[in-house]
Amino acid sequence: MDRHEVYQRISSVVAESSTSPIDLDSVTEETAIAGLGFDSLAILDLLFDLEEEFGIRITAEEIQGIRTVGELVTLLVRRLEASPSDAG
Amino acid sequence: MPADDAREGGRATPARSRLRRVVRFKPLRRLLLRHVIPPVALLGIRALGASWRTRVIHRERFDRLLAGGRPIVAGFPHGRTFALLGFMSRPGNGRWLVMCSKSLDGDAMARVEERLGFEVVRGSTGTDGLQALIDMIRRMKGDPGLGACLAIDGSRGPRDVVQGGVIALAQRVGGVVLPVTAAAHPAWVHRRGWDHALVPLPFARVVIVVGEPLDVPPRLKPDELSALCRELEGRLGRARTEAEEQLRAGGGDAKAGRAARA
Repeated sequence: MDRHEVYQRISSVVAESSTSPIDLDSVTEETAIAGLGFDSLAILDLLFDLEEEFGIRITAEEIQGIRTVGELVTLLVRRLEASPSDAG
Repeated sequence: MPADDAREGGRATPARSRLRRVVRFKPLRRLLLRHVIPPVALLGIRALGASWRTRVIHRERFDRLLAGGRPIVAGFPHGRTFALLGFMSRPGNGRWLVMCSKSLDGDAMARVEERLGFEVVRGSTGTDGLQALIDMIRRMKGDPGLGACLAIDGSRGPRDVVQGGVIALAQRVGGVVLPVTAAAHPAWVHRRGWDHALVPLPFARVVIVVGEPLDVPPRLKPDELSALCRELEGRLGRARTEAEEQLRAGGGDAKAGRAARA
């Protein structure tokens, strides 16, 4: 799965997980995760939705270290490359 | 149930400070906390618990939820942990997952809780706390029938103020929050601690009140989460008042009421 495809799938997960309406056209890799309405507890929704979408496990440390959508894409691309069979 | 989260070098209760002053040699302290204190504490908890005259109000709410099979997240004030340990671990009262800090003190508490029959997930605040919450969600999803006990005010307070963790847990496992609290007389209250921990004395009367269960929708906006937290506080407040009134009605005097309110 290439970076663009991961980005596309992440964008739709982010839009579904967020508690506030998100205009996907305005989301770029530079967009801050916190700016999309994910506080320390709402991030749980994003984490479990991403796990379900990509079939991987994400730790609290990993998700808390993510600042932007681009960093999230990088994390997932790295994880999917490490275990391609998990790419649900 | 989260143990106090005082880490090595973190906030400490007087008892812990004393232990640190008396036992400065860390390996010895570790030995005491992991292998000596837990069995002694367990013996004390069981002996003390056996001497209490415990009355459970609204037990039917508890039984109905247990029979219903929906995941239960029992939410209680941190300061009532000790008074509720025996009730929650009693055979027939369900299987429970608790959160306990990763500190050395938490090691001791985790061992006591495991021997009482609880399943333990380690972590308390910050990233550790979030990971512990994630681990609890995974364990509960993979094990229908496993409930969770969580302090509503976390491991650092403010006292009796509901934090989001208990709601987030119930939300993610499709569960229901069950408020539970206790009052006791005579009891020792640790007033210098943030949670005013209540320890019923030998042969104390203990009243446990099971509050009104709180349904949690699968998705919550921040303001809805906040409203649910306040609602849970209200239900726990009513349960607490009821516990105090029942304690007084059972023959307690004004002093009993004061101990219960602490």
